[in-house]
Amino acid sequence: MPLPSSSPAAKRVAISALFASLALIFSYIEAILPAAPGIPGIKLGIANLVVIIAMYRLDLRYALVINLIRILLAGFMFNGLYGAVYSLCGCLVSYVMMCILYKSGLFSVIGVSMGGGAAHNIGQLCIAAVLVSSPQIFYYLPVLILSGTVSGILIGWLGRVLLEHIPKRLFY
Amino acid sequence: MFSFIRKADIILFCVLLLSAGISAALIFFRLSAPAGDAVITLNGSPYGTYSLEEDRRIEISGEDFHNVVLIENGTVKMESSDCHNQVCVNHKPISHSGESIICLPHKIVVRIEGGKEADVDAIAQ
Repeated sequence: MPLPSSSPAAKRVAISALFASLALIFSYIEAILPAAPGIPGIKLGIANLVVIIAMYRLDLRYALVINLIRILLAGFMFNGLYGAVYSLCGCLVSYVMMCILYKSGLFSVIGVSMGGGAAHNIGQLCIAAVLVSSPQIFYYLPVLILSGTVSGILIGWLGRVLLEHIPKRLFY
Repeated sequence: MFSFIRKADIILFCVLLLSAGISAALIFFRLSAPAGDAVITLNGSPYGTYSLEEDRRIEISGEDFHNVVLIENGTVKMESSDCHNQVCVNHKPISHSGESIICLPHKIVVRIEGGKEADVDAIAQ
């Protein structure tokens, strides 16, 4: 859904900045929450909520830029360099997957978010396997696919609720 | 409440569940198939390397000694030895990488290389 020409550039920039800071706050909340017990890497991915809203209400490109800004700032502020690298790989894979699912027009928000969640975890696992150069890490794959799917469904459902209730005139 | 869910969503969900299941199955099979080698050295020099995957009996004999190493179901044990202390024969069967059975009187070392790592580390051993 491209932005209508009635939407001034300043407004788009303002909303993107607002969304990027919102996503950064979500990242921070997730960073200070205790990790899920047992296996590292299982988390909700609340920041993806913002990306999904941006994808549906602004544009695919805005969603990407918002995500990149979030990762960069979160890396500098609390995630650290390696955290940012992991995050970047996961989010890029997730973004590509969500674009494909979104553009196909076959899926609801939940489907898009679910595919994105699973793809995010697969992408992170791949870069983790490269960084620690140990293929044994793929033992996590089944768990991470499942957790990505479940958290994707939750985020997708939240996104659906928000898309219904945030007034569209906020964006145009 | 959930009427907005499309058919494609459910198909994607099933595909993801299936891929998680398939990868779990693949990993399980890889874990349950320890394919290492039993490396035997005699008097410090290599005697032979035998895969743990096929069951076999290896006889090592010389002028004054006779040992039999048995590979069975992915584990290795010293079946018999005519040495005086029988430490090697009483040793539990080995199957993990790095484990070894040593017959000191006859200077025979059976060591497992490659394959599944032991569940405990070197210190715990």
